[in-house]
Amino acid sequence: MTGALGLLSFGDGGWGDELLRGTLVTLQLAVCALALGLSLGLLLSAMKLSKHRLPRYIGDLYIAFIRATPEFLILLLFYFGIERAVQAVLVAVGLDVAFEMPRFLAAVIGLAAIFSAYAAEVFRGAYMAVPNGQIEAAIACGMSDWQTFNRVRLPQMWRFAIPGLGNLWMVLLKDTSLAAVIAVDDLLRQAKIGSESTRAPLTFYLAAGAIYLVLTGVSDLARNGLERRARRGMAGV
Amino acid sequence: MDEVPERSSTGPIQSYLSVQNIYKRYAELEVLKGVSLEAAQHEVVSLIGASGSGKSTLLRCINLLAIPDRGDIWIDGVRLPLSQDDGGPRRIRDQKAVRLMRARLAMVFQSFNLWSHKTIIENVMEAPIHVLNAPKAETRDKAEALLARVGIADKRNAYPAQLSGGQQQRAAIARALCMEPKILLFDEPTSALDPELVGEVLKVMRDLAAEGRTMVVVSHEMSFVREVSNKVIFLHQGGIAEQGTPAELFRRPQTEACQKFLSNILQ
Repeated sequence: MTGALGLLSFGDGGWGDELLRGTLVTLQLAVCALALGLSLGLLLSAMKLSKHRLPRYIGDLYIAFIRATPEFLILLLFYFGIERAVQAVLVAVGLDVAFEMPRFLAAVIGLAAIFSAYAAEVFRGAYMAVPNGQIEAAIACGMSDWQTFNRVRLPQMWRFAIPGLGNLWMVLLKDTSLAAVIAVDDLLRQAKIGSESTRAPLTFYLAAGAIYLVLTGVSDLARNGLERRARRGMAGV
Repeated sequence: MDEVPERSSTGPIQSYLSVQNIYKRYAELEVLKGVSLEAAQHEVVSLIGASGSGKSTLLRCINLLAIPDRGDIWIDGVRLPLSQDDGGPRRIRDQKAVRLMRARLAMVFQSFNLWSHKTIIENVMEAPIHVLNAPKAETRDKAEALLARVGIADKRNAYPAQLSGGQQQRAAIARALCMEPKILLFDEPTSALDPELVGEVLKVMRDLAAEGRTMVVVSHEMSFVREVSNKVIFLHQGGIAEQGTPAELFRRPQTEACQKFLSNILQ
């Protein structure tokens, strides 16, 4: 088989399977980083909204660090940093084993760390966007702090947070390509390997681009659906 | 549907609600300067006064949405558990007791404050089920009956944003009634409404007064206040300038401040 389609076909001669596998890795990276990043982001926003000064400062410091550092560098720092840190702990407790940081895990943590800093700001905005009167109504009828948060504030926060989180998800999906820098076999790395082996870079990079486009396109549809659902019963719908 | 509040069966006649010598300050501004208020069961007490006179703050102190700096509040013989006044900010000593108390003091707000992510009937059922642990089916029946009573049974599955202001406020009253409150607190319930919608809300409130509900009402609707109140309190600059029956207060206001307020609002 010849030509671009041949190169991208499945089976022995083509690179279709490799690209598909890379796409799956990309999706796994993004979904895992999303789950971890959302949890961390909620925690960070809680710190930023805290009555106490210390958690607020720590939150501010963390967010400032992430915002000021290139994503590329953050992944490298997390990969080597965690490996060194764990190694140091192992030595300290007297264990003489070499620790190797799993690359996939390092990439997920790094991507989640980036996502969480931006998500924290989205959550904080959404928290404050829930009308205060509705919170007072909950308190006035005897709800506990937790019930007020869980039954009145949180369900409405999504309405304000989903547009912002949708944007961050798009960024995250594309940032997964940075994982190639620590040799995770994501979509872009597979495309790069293919292009270098076959000397047809444009074919592979265009193919990868098309796949990213499909992923972000589907994401956009999903976001629209979620947004409509979260805005159920609101004015103007 | 009869929902006469439970009567206290024993004891000498005592105030159902007793607010004693309340002080409240926000930063530099002293909003309440030693205000006391008594309401017997089945009484309607109205608070009137210019904006900034402290009437809303007083109402919010009753269910501790605002915590008074000094003074005590007793409801049906129980004192609200506030820490002793030691100069610093006072705290709620027993959160659980305060929550139980709040569940029996329903508040109706100026801006309705219905939960916008829940349908009307869900708004009405929410607190009885999740705060009072009432059974769901029974609560639904009760909620439907209350919505019918305030005239919006057909809106049960609509969301608050799909209702007019008057309908939202009636839904908020149904939400309050579903808690079977000992006392109803109304914080300027018609002030955010278009003039043509005020009547439908006042009609519901008149019915509630007529069936013997204990109510504390902050309102600028003087004809309503005059008609339904057992007692009217005129607040001026954070203190009670004058109080009495509607007849006394409206016919023969004693203080200059009250005369001026009434002539301004009634003209």
